[in-house]
Amino acid sequence: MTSRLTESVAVQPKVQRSVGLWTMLWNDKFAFVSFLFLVVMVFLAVFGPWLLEQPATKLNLRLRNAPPFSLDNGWLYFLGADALGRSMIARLIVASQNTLLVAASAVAVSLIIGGALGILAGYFNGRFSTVIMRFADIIMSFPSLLIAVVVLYIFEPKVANLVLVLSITRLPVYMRTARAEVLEIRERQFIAAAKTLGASHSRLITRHIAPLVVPTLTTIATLEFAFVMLAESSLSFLGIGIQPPEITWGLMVAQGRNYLQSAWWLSFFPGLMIMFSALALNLLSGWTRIALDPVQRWRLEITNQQAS
Amino acid sequence: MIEENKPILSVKNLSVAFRTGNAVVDAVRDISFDLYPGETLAILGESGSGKSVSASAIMGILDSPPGFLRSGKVVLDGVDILRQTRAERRRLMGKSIAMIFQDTLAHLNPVYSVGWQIAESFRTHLNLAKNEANDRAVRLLEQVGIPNAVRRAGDFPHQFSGGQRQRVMIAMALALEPKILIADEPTTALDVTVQAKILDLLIEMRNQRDMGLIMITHDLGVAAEVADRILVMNDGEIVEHGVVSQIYANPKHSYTQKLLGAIPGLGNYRETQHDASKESATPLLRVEDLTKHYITEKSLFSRREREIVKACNNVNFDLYQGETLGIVGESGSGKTTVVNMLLKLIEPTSGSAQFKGEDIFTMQGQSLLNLRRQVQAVFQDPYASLNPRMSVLDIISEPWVIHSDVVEKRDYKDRVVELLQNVGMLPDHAERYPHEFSGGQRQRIAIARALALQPQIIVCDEAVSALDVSVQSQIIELLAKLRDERGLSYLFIAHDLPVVKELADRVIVMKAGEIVERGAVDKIFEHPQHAYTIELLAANPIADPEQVADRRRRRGIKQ
Repeated sequence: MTSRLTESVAVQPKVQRSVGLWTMLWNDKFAFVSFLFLVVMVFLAVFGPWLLEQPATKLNLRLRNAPPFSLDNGWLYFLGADALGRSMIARLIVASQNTLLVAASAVAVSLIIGGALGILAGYFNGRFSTVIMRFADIIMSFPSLLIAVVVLYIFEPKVANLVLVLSITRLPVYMRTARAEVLEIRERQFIAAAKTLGASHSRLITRHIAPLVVPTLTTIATLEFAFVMLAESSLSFLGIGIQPPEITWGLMVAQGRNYLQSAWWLSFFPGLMIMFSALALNLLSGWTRIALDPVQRWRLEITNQQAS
Repeated sequence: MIEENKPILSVKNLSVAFRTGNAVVDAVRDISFDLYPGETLAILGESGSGKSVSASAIMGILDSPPGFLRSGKVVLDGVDILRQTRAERRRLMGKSIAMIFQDTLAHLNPVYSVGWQIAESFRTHLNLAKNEANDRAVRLLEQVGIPNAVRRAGDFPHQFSGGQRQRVMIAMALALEPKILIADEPTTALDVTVQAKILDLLIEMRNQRDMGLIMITHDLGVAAEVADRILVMNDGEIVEHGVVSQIYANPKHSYTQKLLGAIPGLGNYRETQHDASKESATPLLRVEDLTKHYITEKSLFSRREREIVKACNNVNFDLYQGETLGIVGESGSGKTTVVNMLLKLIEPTSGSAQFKGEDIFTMQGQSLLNLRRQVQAVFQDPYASLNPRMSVLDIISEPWVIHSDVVEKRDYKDRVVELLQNVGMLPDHAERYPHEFSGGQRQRIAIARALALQPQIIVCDEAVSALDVSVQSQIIELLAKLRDERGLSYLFIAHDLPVVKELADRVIVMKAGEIVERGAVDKIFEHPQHAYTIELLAANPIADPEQVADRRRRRGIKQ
């Protein structure tokens, strides 16, 4: 009798355990490069303005719209200069601070508030849910830029207000996704199992539901990051976002628009920065989703040599 | 079996493998067999044995990648169909070989009427006009026993019951009079009484058309019921091959012997049958007039008034200390509704349930928490009942986090290891995640979690239904052992009578929300009173070919 009780163990090919996060990151080369890029960007955003404030604002009318890829005027002008002869490199680096600050805070605020509201709406599926979801519908039924214009016209267009407006207009995306996910997850059997153990609402939400919803939300957040950067640039373009002489990549794209025919690099390089940041975040979030999922993790635990 | 004929299908040295992350896994290794017209060949095996993969390879519907053919031939009418082009094979499919599947809802298109879907093969293969194709579809539906076929041909798959959907799928497969029908677990999702009818239908159709039938099943009873010859597969290989009577009477391979030994309901009743009602006057759990009604919404387009669906009506029973009560019923009998009310997952419409004299439906706060501690549950699907993102350690120690006075936090690890060993697992399993285990192992983890709080009652809601027979018998054995060691009481829910035979002291049989029969387990099995209990017992496929022939004659099926 006892012999039949011990079932054969290890059905699956045993995966080598205790592979650290670093190894998993190294195993996904795209994610690794993205990670490096983002580390550099954060470093520049923090220290860049302090180092390059001077060259970024210094006018040099002889170098108006100087073309890129020439070292004749020193490395600061390698990517050319803008309409007032200011170094593109210096301006890109200085602008990264505002851009990343606005986008990151706006995304974080809407991720946390929208995610939390959505999870609650899905979990307590009743009148509370209806109220929250109608609120989301109202936000969605206004063109988001219109709300932003109105709000920023009435209030002072400063960074905090900008973040607030951008995050509120993007709330419904997180709310709807989170609610839909929770509606499905809460019918699963392990939720019923946890209920029969006596788990409280807060335990069910934080331990059992949220960990399964968060990966989806962070993936959306990285996509939203690029969207928010562009929305910020539209607002700056309309003159109700970040005000010159402060700069963001979005504002640089907007300012370069007038010279697209004669000096394409004014818009191109800041646009490229927006794209690279969004891409890097996207790749990294794909990696995080897999690395944090016990079912998928093995994909990163095996090295490329083993795979082929 | 008509041996003098030439085989209509012969499979030679078929090997199929799958590429996984870091390795190539052989799913099917070098299998060969022949199929003759008019015979039924059963491919018998548990999950992971490669039986369905072989069928998919023959049908050309292997998931590829990751699966690929290593070697082998499948000869049909002198042609190796594995070497044919896709276009050539398409002409063959349906006309020469057809297949039916387990999950009928997934394999029928939800947006077309069933008549349209059957007529489709006439239109595409035979280029029939719409009207004639439809007429033929209706005739087929009549043949497979769909009542009111003319009217029902316009209905959509979700409007049919599971058994009727399987009939529709059989009609579709038979549309072009194929020479070979492959049935992949066609009755696994069905209730036993429905299963018996579908199996009869398959045999009847085979006899009428002189088809070769390949029956893929994990159920020894089903195989005995329909097959002439049996292939037993284990781990991608054919371990035994023979005529049905010989395999069952005289199994040669140890795996076949193990399978036959694991069939539920062959063992004896519980040795010392518990008659607790005499020992102690107060039951642990007393359920009185428990009722749950659902009111259907009035439909916008139909004239039907609101209907009351009686999921569960006036259910009464007692459960005593150390006793196991089996609740048996087919789908829709209300057995899970009863369980969900007792676990306080849904609210009852009326009635009461007392745990040690205290009404559980009015419990709040501390007394509810105490109830949660004393009554634990093990659910049907071990793949769904464990949170995929928690390690085994977290899963088993979760009850202690919720009931924080039971075990000190620093002792979690030791106690989890102890529990794992109690349920036949290894200590280092604590660090792993649910997806790394097989179904049986996961169910052991779920049982360990249920034991963590040392409850008095464990509710097993179809706890072994999703498991392979050999694993099923291990889990039942484990449950019996734990009960005897710890004096547990079980409420054991099953859709099938045999699984409760060895475990239960008393059995309740439910049908359509009502209890139709109750009694000591030996009485229910030996002298069933209610017609439905008799039907349930008769419908259960017996893994004994001798008895099968006899029963089939009684049901009026020609051999």
